[in-house]
Amino acid sequence: MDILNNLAAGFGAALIPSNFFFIVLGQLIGISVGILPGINSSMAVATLLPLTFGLTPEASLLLLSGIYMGSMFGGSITSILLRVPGTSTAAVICLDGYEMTCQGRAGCALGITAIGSWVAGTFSLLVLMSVGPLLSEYALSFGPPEYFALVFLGLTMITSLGSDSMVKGLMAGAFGLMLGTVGIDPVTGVNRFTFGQVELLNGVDFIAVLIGMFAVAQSLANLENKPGSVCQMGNMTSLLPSWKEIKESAWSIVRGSVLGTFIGILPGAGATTAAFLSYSMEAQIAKDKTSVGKGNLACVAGPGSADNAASGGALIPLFSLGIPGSETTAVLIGALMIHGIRPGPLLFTEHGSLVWCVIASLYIANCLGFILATAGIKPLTMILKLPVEAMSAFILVMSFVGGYALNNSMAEVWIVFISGIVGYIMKRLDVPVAPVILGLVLGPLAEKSFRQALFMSDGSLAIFIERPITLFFILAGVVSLFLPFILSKFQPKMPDSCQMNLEEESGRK
Amino acid sequence: MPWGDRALAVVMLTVSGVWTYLAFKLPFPSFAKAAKVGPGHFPAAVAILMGVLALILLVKTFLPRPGGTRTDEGDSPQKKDESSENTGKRNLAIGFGLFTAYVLLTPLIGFIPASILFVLGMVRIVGGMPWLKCGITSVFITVFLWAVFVYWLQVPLPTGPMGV
Repeated sequence: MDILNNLAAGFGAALIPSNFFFIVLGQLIGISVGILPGINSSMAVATLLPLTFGLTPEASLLLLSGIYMGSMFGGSITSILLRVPGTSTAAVICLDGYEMTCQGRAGCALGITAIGSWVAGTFSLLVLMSVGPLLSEYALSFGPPEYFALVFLGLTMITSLGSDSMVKGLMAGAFGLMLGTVGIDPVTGVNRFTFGQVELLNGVDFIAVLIGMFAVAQSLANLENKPGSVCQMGNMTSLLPSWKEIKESAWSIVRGSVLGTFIGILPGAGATTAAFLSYSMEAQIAKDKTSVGKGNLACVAGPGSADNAASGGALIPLFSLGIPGSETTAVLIGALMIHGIRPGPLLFTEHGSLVWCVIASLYIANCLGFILATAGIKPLTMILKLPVEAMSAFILVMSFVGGYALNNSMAEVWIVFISGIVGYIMKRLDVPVAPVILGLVLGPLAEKSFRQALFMSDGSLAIFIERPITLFFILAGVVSLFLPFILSKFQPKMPDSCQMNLEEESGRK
Repeated sequence: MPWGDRALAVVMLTVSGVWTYLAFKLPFPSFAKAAKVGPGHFPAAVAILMGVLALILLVKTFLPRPGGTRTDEGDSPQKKDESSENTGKRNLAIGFGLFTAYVLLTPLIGFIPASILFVLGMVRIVGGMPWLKCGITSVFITVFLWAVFVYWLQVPLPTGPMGV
C-alpha cells in the first residue's frame, strides 16, 4: 500500500503544471536528440545540466530523466527510416527496421517500436517501484566496508563502458580516479595535487569535466566528421501496425522487456547490450530464420523494447545503491549532486518525495513518448536538416555558460575547455570518456570508505572478506569485470552501413 | 603504426610517475596512522595502476594485431575521400581556434559580443552560410541563451565594457 500511496503522491507532484511542462520539454528534447546522430542522451543531459542550476530539484530531474527516456525511442526513428542510428542502442534496430521501411512497412516498424518502448518502459518502472525501495532499505544497514565494496562494484563497470580495448577503458577509469584525488583529503585535511591553485582545493569540479568531455569534445568531433549523412528516406504508408502485427510481436515485446530490465539492473551492462542480446535471442528463436535481417518484425520489436526497459532498469541501482547502470545514469548523478543530493540507500528515505515524483514522471513521459512518437514522427525527422555548425556553436556556447555558472568564475570554464580537448583526444584514440566520470565521482567515495573501514579494523584488510555482504559485492565486482566479454560473445554483427553511422556516434548510450 | 596509442602510453606513464612521486611526498599525520593508509597511499596506488596499464598499452603497440592491419584505432573504418578529410580537419581547426578565442575574449568584451562573433564565425567560416542567415542565427542563439540564463535562471554572465 505504501508503494501505491507514494506513487499517488508522486503523480500529484509530477502533474503540477510547472513540473508537467518540464516532463513534456524533456521528452521532446529527448526524442529530438535521439534522432540527431552525433548527439546522444548522455551528451544532451551533460549539455543541458547548466539549465537546471536555477530549477528546483524536481523540475531539473523531470527534465533530464525525460530526455533520458525520450532519446531511447528517438534513436529508433532514424534507425528505421534512414538507417542512421541516432543512438548506439538503436543500431541493431536498423538491421530489420530499415528493411521494413524499404518494404513500405515503416509505419508498422515505428508503431511496434513505440508500443514496445511503452510496454517495456512501464514494466521496468514497475520493477523499479517494487525492488528499489526494498533494496535501499536493506542497504541502509551498510557501514564503510559495505560502502567500499559497493563502490568497488560500481567501479568495475568501467570495463563495460569501455571501447574495444579493456586496457584503455581501465586507463580512463584510473585517470578519473587520479583526478578524484585532487583537493583536500577528506580524512586528514592534507592538500593534494592542488599546485597552489585555490580553485582546486575543493577538487576538480566533475560537472565541468563532464560538460567538457561529453559536450565540447563531441561538438568538436562533429565539426570534423559531420554526422548524419542522409540516406534515402523510406515511404510511410501507415503510422500504426495492424492488430495482427501487434499480436505477432507481443511475445517479442514481453521478452525484450524482461531481458532489458534485467540487463539494465546489472551495473555496466546497459541499453546497448540489452538491445543486441534481445536481437540475438529473437534471431535464434525466429520460426522463419531466412527473414532475419530482411524485415523480421520480432527483430525490431524485441530490441526496441529491450533498450527502453534497460533504461528503466538502470535507474534501480542508481536510486537504491547510488551505482550508475549506464553512461547516462552516471551523468544523472551529476544532476542530483548539483542539488546536494547523493544517490544511494538514503535517497528513498531522505528524498522520497523527489524519487517518487521522478518515477511518476517517467510513467507520464513513457505515455507522452508514445503519443509524440506516433503523432509527430515525420515532423521530428525534419530536425536532421539543422546545420551541424549551428548546433555545435550552440552546444559550445552552452558549455561555456555551464562552466561559468557553476561558480560564476572562469576557472570552471577553463576546466570545461581543457576537458573538452582531453575528451576529443581520447575520442580520437578510441579511449572511452565515461569511465573518467565514473572514476571521478566514485573515486573519492571509494577512498573515504576504504580508509574508514581500515580505521574500524585497525588496518586489517580482512574486514572486506569477513562480512558476507562485502564479500558478495566484491565477488560480484569481479564477475562484472568480465561480464562484457561474456555478453559480447552473444552479439550479432551489424552490416557495414550501420556500423559506419554508429562509428560517428559518440559513445555507448 | 599505432603512434597515437604509443604517445598516449608514454604521456600516461610520465603522468603516473609524477603523480606517484608527489603522492609519496604527501605528509602522513600521526592521528591517521591507525588506518595504516595515509593521504598519499590511494593516489599512489591509482597512479601505479595507471603506470602498469600504460606499460601494457605500450607493449601492445609493438605486438602484431590479431586479424588485421588496422592502422589507427582512432580512425573510422569508413573510407573517406581525401578532400572531405581535409575539409573535416580544416573545420576542426577553425572551430577549435574560434572556441579558444571565445573563451579568452568573453571576460574581456562580454558574453553577448563574444558569443555573437563566435557563432557568426562558426556558421559563416565553417558552415559557409549566407551572411544574412549567419547574422540571424548568431543573434538568435546568443539572445536566447542570454535570456534563458540571465532573466529566467538568474545566472550572471560575464559582461564587458559595454555592460553586456
